[in-house]
Amino acid sequence: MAVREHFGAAGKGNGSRVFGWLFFAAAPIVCILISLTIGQYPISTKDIFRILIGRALGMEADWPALMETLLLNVRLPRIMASALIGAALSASGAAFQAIFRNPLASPYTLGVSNGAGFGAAMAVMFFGSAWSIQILATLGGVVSVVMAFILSGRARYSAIALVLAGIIVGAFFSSLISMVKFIADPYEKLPAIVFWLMGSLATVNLGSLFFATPFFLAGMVVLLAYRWKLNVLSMGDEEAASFGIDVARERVIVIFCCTILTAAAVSISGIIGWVGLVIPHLGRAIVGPDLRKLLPACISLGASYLLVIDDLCRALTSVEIPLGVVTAIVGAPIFGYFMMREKTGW
Amino acid sequence: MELEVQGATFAYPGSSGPALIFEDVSFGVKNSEIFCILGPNGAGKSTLLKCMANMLALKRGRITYDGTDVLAHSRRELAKIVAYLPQDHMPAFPFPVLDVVTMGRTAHIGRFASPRSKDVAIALKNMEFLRISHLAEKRYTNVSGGERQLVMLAAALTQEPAFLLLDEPTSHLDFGNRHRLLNLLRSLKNMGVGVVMTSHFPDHALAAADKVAAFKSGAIMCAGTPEEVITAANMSALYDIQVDVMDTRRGKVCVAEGV
Repeated sequence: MAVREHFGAAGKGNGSRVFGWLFFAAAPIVCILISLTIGQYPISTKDIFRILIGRALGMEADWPALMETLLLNVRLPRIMASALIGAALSASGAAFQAIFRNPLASPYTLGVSNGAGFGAAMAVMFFGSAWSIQILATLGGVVSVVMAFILSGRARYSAIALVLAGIIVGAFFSSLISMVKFIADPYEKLPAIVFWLMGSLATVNLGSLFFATPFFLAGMVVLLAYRWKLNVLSMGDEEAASFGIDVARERVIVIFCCTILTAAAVSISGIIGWVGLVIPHLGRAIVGPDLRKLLPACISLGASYLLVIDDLCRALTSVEIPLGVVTAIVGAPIFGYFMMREKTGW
Repeated sequence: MELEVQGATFAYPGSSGPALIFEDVSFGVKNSEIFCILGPNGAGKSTLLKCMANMLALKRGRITYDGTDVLAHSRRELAKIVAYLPQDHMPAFPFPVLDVVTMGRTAHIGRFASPRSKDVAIALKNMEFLRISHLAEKRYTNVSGGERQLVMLAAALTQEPAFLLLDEPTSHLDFGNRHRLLNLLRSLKNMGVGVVMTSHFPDHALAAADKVAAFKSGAIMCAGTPEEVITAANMSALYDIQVDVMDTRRGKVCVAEGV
């Protein structure tokens, strides 16, 4: 991989490192611009620039009103949501893998996805509005992590106990989801629940984007502020404590940030698997395990990856394919490739 | 600065009543001394060291640094006074060795900051002191067990503590590195870093320590200078095997009976 060369040994000159970061900065922007052109109604790159810049400068519209509505109210929210969700899941995946010292950890390790899924299923059953799904899904995600914390009890100072508690909570909520599906009306409610669980960005609008963006920004800013501490935490509990870190407290803060990032993502898109597991591995293969580089790299790669996958979902067939399905179909081979190739450990 | 352990008692909580590890242990170490704890497997040496680093909390008694209880310090403050080195470290991710050593600066930098070049310089200086500068760019997951031990020691020194708590620091080192390390510990104590170490080798205590405590069944069997403690009678009782202490041209050594 060409980009990898620019992050390898520290002996590399500044020039190539700048090139590497330019790549990471440009990738999501390019993906956003390409994504804006994709869809049933053709909008050229030139029109996109005209509308975006024209609107920003308050110029008079010399383009079709339909085109503007479609671009700004339909495509742009969905594409921004896609980028933010990809970035959020990847960043929290990288942080979870570091604090649990486990390359198999993902943002869903503590049961967020199942808790959120149960919240969403309940919302579909009893309320049905998009708002109720978002709020109950967020709540369900947060509740599942809190439950995992309570379950791990006195052993919460051990990361393994927490992971185990997360698996237990996840299994519990997963059964509850099955129970709700079983009793749900099979013609309306059941398909709605099933589609939500597969993940999709089709229902994203400006409202849901505004709902989730503060969570994304807050979580991401704190994780980035913790980039060095995450490195130290990844050395192990005793080592990090000896280096002067209050492990139990800092781990709670990191988990809290990852939880709001993940819950916010899941609440507007449903359950999108694999992004939070695969992208941190891809990032580590390119920039190494140092979270000072890995977090920004994951934010860029995660945003770009989900944009491309969502483009495929929208453009491949006339009926939209659920996003969570495609992330795994594309993600699993990538993960397999890196597993076979990486011999130096994670 | 002085480290004091007073009436320290520790027990792991268990379903069939607490399992007592050590009871009423007292000693003091200055930051110009090397204190070596000897004892058979399971004597409670490592647990005592963990209590001194506040990884575990005593059941009774107290551990103080210059009169302040170890429990009263925040992790951050404590890390500037004491560096603790566990027996083994299993790395999870392939960080460059220099990054690992630089982690020793964590307590000295801002809460949300990353190390600056002066922190990296301190890390490099300590790697040079331990003669492992050549490992700087290597991946921590790819170096040998002995090298890893030296890397973690370099990270501990990078904390610039007044006391080092070393749990069998020589266990993975080859014969030459063992003795080089013991010599380095002696120069550290002359620079004002007190060392508390556990060891399985009475010879190491003879070679480097100022004070020795023989630890058996959760209590100090005897303590004092190496010459006082490491006698044929004491070592035979400590390890339940016949031991002779012999004078050689380079000092005393312990020799165990053949079986």
